[in-house]
Amino acid sequence: MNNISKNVLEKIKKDHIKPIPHWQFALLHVVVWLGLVASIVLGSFSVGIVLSEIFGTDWDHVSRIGRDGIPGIVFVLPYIWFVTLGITLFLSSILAKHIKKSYKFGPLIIMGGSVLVSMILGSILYATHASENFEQALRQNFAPYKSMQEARDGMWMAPENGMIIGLIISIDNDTMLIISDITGQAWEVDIEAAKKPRKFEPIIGNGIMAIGEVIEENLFKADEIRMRNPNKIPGMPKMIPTHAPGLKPILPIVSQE
Amino acid sequence: MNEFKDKTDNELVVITLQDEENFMYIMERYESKLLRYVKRFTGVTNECAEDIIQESFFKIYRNLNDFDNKLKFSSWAYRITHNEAINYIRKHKNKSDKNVSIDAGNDDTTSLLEILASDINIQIEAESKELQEKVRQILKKLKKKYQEVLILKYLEDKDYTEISDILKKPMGTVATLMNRAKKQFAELAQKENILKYIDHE
Repeated sequence: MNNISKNVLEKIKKDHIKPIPHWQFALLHVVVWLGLVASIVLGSFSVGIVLSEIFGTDWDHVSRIGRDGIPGIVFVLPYIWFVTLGITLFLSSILAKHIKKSYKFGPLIIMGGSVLVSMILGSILYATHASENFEQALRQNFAPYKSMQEARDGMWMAPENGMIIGLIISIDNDTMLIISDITGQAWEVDIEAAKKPRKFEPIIGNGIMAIGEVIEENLFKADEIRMRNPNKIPGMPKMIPTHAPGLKPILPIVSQE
Repeated sequence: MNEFKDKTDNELVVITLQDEENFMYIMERYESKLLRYVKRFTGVTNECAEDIIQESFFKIYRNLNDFDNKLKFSSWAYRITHNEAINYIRKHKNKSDKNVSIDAGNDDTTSLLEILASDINIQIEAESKELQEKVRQILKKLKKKYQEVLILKYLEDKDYTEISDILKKPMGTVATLMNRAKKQFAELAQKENILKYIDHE
């Protein structure tokens, strides 16, 4: 018996050292796998949300929200989801290293695989609106995220640059809409000469973005109307006023049902 | 005792999990191999190498339930020892309490040169103590990642799959490292004037 082996065996006996139970390794592997799956799923949702933000942004009017010499694009990029995507990709590559035999694929393949899987799943989540629903659920249930996103969405309210955004609260013979903006301020929007989406139907509760100019206080003449997701109009719908403060007697709300 | 000599490593793992005494057979089978590997790989003194092996055996024993039967036990044991050696060097690098001097002190460096020589078509100019020392110096000058693959391939006689499992690197990476290591070794050997000529083709 050699000295090293003898010493090791004696210490094992003396200190009652035992092999770590199999279940602990099994549990660890399950945790690693769950972590990997979770980070890939979150990464996929990030991709889906980034896609919906990119395709849902009115890029041709982004310049209107620029300020202090900073281009508008800087304000509209979904940084939080880029960061989330980066973190999840980093996490998944770290976790993948702890999976048995994953080293056979090399770090580049593992990282590339994570990116590819996230891209494919993210595209599916985007196409099925699942990522959008996830984002909405996050807004409703996570206040810090909600306020952060509202601040971002609120950038689109720029009357000084000919752009307002709000929720339709009243309709007057299809030529004049009354909308409530993100602060609860009511605006009369003249849409008679405005270019409208092909399937535009003014319905109370719908969100719109109007591009044009302020004619006088609280009166906006729209050159173009675009539909907006009411859930992405900050402060809505709880801020819908029952009457429009500062306006002449408001027209009765006409339901389109 | 003899009945255990015929048992495979995997069988020894199974019986060790039933009775700790049987771990002795595993240790006896690997003690000298791993000790030699640690000395070749790290160049530490015998005392330091023994410390590393002792810690490696504890780690192997503690992790026996995590051993994957699809892997060769020797690759797994080498991997644990390799990592333990790296940890040991890192831990004691800046401490004066332990001597971690790089002093290979083994004669098998010449055999490395001989094997490499035949592998990359080079001819050895001389065989002497001086040559052995030069080979050691060249090995020391190589990056650690190149030393690792050369030692495992030519001195520990491991194939690419085993090296991949020990170093936890993809086979392609091992092959690339091997080629670069041989090339760099040959270039340094040429500079040291211990080769008559080098022909990589």
